[in-house]
Amino acid sequence: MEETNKEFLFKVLVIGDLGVGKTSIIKRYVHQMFSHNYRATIGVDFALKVIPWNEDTLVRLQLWDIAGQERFGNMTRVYYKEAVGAFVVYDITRSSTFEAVMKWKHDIDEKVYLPGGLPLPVVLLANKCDSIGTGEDKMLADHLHSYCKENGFLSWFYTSAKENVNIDEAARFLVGHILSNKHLLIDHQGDGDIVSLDENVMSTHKDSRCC
Amino acid sequence: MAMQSLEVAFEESENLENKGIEEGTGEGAVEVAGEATGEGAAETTGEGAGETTGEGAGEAAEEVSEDLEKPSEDQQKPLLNREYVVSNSRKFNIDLAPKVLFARGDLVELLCHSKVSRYLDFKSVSRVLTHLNGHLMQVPCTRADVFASRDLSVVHKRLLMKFLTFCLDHEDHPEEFADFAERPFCEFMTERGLTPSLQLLVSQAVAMVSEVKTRTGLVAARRFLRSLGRFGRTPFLWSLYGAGELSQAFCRMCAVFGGIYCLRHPLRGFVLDRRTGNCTAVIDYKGHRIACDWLVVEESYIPQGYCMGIRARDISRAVLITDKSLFPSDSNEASVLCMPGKGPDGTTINVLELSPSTMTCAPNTYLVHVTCPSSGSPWDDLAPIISPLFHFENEPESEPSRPHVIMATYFSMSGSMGDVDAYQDLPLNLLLCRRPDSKLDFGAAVEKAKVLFQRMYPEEDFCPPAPEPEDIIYGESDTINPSEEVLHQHWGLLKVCRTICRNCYWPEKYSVHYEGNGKLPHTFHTMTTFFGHTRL
Repeated sequence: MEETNKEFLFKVLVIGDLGVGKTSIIKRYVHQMFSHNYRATIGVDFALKVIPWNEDTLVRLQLWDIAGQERFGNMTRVYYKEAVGAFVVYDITRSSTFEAVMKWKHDIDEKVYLPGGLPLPVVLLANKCDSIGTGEDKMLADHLHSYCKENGFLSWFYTSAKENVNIDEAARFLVGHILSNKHLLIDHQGDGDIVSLDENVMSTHKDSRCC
Repeated sequence: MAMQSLEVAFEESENLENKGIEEGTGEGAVEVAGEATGEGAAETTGEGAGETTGEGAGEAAEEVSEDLEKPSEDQQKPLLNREYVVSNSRKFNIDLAPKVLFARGDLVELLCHSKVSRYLDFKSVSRVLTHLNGHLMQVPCTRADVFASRDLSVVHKRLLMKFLTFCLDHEDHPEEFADFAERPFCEFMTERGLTPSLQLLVSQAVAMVSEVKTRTGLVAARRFLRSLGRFGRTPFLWSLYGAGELSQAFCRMCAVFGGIYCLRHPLRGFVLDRRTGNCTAVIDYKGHRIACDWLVVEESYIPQGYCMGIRARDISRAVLITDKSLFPSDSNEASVLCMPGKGPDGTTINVLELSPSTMTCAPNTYLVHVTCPSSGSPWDDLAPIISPLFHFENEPESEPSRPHVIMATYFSMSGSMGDVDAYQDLPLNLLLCRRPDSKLDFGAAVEKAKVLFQRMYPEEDFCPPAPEPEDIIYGESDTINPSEEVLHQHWGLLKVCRTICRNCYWPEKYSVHYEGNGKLPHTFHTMTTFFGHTRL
């Protein structure tokens, strides 16, 4: 088996209630920046992070932002399709966002699954961990540990986009999991002759306006 | 001037509305509802305007939408029965309005131009089939296919190629068909020396028309021929996961640039300004009031009182799940078959057979959509075509063996009223989209969307190209939003998603709503749109 110089493109969803910090996490991870100003997400489709995983493997990670569509709690399937993993984010300081975690998990499980039919690997991110004291987080950690086990999450992380805590670690964990289970991504159903209009336009219209 | 007063009048309720929804409390909503109905200058009309249409469509849904076990990894062909279908229900995507795209049609051009295509994948429809002399045959679409075809003699091949070449260029030679332009297409073909079977081939498989005038037939044939040779072996593209993906792709692009979606929010009524007659807001099923400058709705939302009493022609549909292709081959095919309808008015019956590679059905099954404008009941319209092609349970086995029908449903859907003239006294700021028609492709949907958009925003570009995600620059002061200019440009996307949606399967009730905030350019009008398709 030829294993050298492999390149992978993984679509990973970043999901959660309004204002939990999804966009901040993406921006911290991809663009290494954080803003205190809160704005509803506009204009963010997905961000690409290129990860030189090891000498032979390059991972292109597409992190898909929810683009403000979460406001009314239902996503269109276009957002979910062909994803191979997801982060569900909640705000540690707002319990209502934690209550919504299961709703998001159900929405994922209902609308997307891996090509082989297994559910998507989902990692829970307890964001804004910079806002709580060290005493509290011990108790919470025990709770989250069992919560993830019971509800089919792969794992969980405390994160802070503001202080840049654990975001790289969480992404590395999820990508590692996807890579080690990449046999699950092989689709028995599809075949090769899929047409993507972008590519064909490039080749058939040399005068296209994309440059 | 009316617009200004409306904005002032509803500013407060709009704020309440936002608050109610974002905090997820019921209180705000109740207040809003109370205010809406009690308002002096407004009246609520249209009870049940948000109700679903296409009753029969639900039947198919219930049978395949139950969520059960995960599909097995078994490589052997499983026992194909109802249990198999139900347990693989997630793999079925049954469109409410299944449509293909012409490879050189407006919609493909728009998808490329606007970059909405980034959310979509397509599969070339691999075969056009036709029913000739009692047999199904594959229509040779390329020159090579024509010459390789074993169904045609050399003389016929030459005749056919010559005639098709003429169809493609017929606009340059109007004198050659001038005498026949308004006469039946078949007379012109006879004059050109085409045998009856070649005539059938051209009209059924290429022009995809039944009995039409020569001019219409030539235009239809040209449209087919012109789209050849761009993607794959036929002129048609199928969007993976179903035609409903198209509307979702436009919606995603719209959301990325600020459009807000409220899925599963059926409408309860419209609020009209008594003075101007304009629609100033809509009320959703929970009593939320959503203010609007424009309201774009699909026909089924229009209350009865506005209808002129014209009865729209329904669409007869059948959806079948079968165990093999009508025309088996080695590869995973998607096929189009067009048959003459039994109606007197030259309608055709379209058959679309989708294999698992189209991502609309489970492995080893085929999903078949049969559609035509209704003349009688769906059964009367479609069974005469369907029965000879498929094998139903309890029928004696046929020779050669036909695809077995695992599940089937017949139903009708409300057709489009067609013209706006079918309605009277509609509010001036209410724009109508038509219901899906029975045609195989999206027809003039893009053109119509553009017309509606330009009526609302005559100064704006229609669906300008979206920037690539990596081209959006995030500054320190503006870390999330792209420039106002970019937002401004993309307003156009909202419009198109709306009109195209009317032709697509849409998974749930939803609406589009743009909420302006202080940061956004004033040209972003608060607007609400609702789509009314039933979940299948």
